[in-house]
Amino acid sequence: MTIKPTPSLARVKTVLIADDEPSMRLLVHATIESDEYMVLEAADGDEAWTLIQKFRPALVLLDVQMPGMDGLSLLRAVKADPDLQQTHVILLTAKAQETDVEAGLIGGADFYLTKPFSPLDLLTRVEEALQL
Amino acid sequence: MSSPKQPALAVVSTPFDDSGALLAAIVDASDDAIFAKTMDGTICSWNTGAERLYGYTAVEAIGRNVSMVIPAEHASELLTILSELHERDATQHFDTKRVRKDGTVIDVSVSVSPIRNHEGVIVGASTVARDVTELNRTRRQLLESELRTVAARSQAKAEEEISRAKGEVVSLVSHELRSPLASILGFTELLYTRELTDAQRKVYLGVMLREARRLTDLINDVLQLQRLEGGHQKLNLATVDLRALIQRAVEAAGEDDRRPIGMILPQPLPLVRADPDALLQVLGNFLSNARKFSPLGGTIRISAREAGDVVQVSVRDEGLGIPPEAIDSLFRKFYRVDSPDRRLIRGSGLGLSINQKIIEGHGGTVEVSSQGLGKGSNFGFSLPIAMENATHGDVLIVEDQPAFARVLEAELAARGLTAVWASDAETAERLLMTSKPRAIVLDLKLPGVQGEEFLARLRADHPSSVPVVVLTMRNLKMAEIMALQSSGATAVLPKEAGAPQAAVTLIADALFATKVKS
Repeated sequence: MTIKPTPSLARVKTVLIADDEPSMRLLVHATIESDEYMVLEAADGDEAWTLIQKFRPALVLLDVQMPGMDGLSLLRAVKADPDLQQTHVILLTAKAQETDVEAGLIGGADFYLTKPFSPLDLLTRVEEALQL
Repeated sequence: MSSPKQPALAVVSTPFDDSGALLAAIVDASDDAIFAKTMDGTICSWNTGAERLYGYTAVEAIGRNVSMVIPAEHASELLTILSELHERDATQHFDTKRVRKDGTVIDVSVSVSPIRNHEGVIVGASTVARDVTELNRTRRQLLESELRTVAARSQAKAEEEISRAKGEVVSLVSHELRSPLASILGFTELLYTRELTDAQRKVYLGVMLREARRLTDLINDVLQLQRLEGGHQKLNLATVDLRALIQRAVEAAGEDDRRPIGMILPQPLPLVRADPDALLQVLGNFLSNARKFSPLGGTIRISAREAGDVVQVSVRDEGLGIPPEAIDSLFRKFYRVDSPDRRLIRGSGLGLSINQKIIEGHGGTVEVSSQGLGKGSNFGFSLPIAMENATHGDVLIVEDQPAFARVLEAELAARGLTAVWASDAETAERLLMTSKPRAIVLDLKLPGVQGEEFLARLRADHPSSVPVVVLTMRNLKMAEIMALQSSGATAVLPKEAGAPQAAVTLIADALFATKVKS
């Protein structure tokens, strides 16, 4: 958990990055860094779920293959939670297998990107999801 | 068969009871071959079925011995059948082979029953035979096709298994390759498209460098494992003093104040036959794992001991340990123990598989044990002790480059000389304690103790006249060559094309000259 909530940040949109690879978190963070929203990082699925429940982010970027709760389980948990109906989900996957992607889309993800992906592409998707 | 011709069941003077025309007609009408024979095998009746089955007419058959339809390899059957008939006094059924008049062999199913005279004494036998050649062929074909189906099914299953395993590896490799690649490409794109501060650039480039190295390591590991699994990685077996090799591996592992490495190495340790470079890699993998999985620090102990006909090496750490349920999977490709405290620990997930394959290639075994999570781990391997003949040879080669040593061995062999190869001076010194080579080829640049020092010690300890040919890459000055010669080098040759041949010629000349003198 990298940022503690403060009252002034409560109205700011939050984006959560969940990936077990530090370099991947850094890349995604650097790519979407903006004054418009606050970026949080989680290093595994369980930490991500704690942060999601606490901050109710507008968007979560989920790595599919993660220790603890994996990306697809997190996606299902988000979609099943009535308090998180406004939360958009983008999946990042290193598995290029159609079945995973299908599972993700059926599970209600807004979009998925296969690693390696273009950071500019990712940024476009993030801005779309947040309707900036 | 209501054939109008005379029934073939001809009855000549026989010891049998008179048989009626009705019975004769029934017998003759049968599709089966029916004939009678006396106890010595003489045919006395022969129906139309027998004519068809065996190809002999009744006239040809009657009076002759039944052995004419029995193939040579079944000749003993007749005696068995008749004696069984006497002893058991019952109809016998069996499948056998018979030969037709035209020489073709047929499969027949036969029933033989006793024939009695008025007094009830067995005086002959009646035989009913049916051609089952076609039936047998069909049966055989059925069986073969069944067998083929079973074989095809099991092959399909094996292929499926292989393709599933391959698919698993491909999926794992693709995941492991995509992650570092995603970082490298992603940061490259950011560097290329965005205005960045120097500090950002430096951070990004640092990540790219690290990830590119990780990718390289992964590719190397995957390729090496593939070579090992396919049996394509040849082991360059030398005689090895594990003590020196372990010391070298520890030195290569470098200093780490929080994770010091202690060595417990008895002296002397038996020599083993091993590929020194491959073994250094194994030791390096175990040591680097021990440090990696001791994030809070802790002492690592590497020890070796003789145990029966093997030398056991173990690397023990005080690190994260291994949960009991993971122990069996640990040497599996890409397997990683999942716990929060080891998520930041990087690796290809192939090191242990590589170690296992290398050690097994040496005829050794690997093992792992742990008291559980947080209680450290103990990885070990054993290698067979070198056989007597691996520690003796006419010529001792002290050379750390396997390719060069191989060429020397081959050149010596061509001249009828055996060689023993040590890849470092420490092993060579051990060998000199137990064996008396007649000549030595010495490289100067060695991993541990250098050639010059080895030579000096050799001449101090064994002031014998054993010739030593020095081979070196170094461009030696005249004074250096003279110094080597004064410390006991018989000849000093530059390592260039033709050097192994020249060295071996020198040695052969020296050895055969001594032989002539003595």
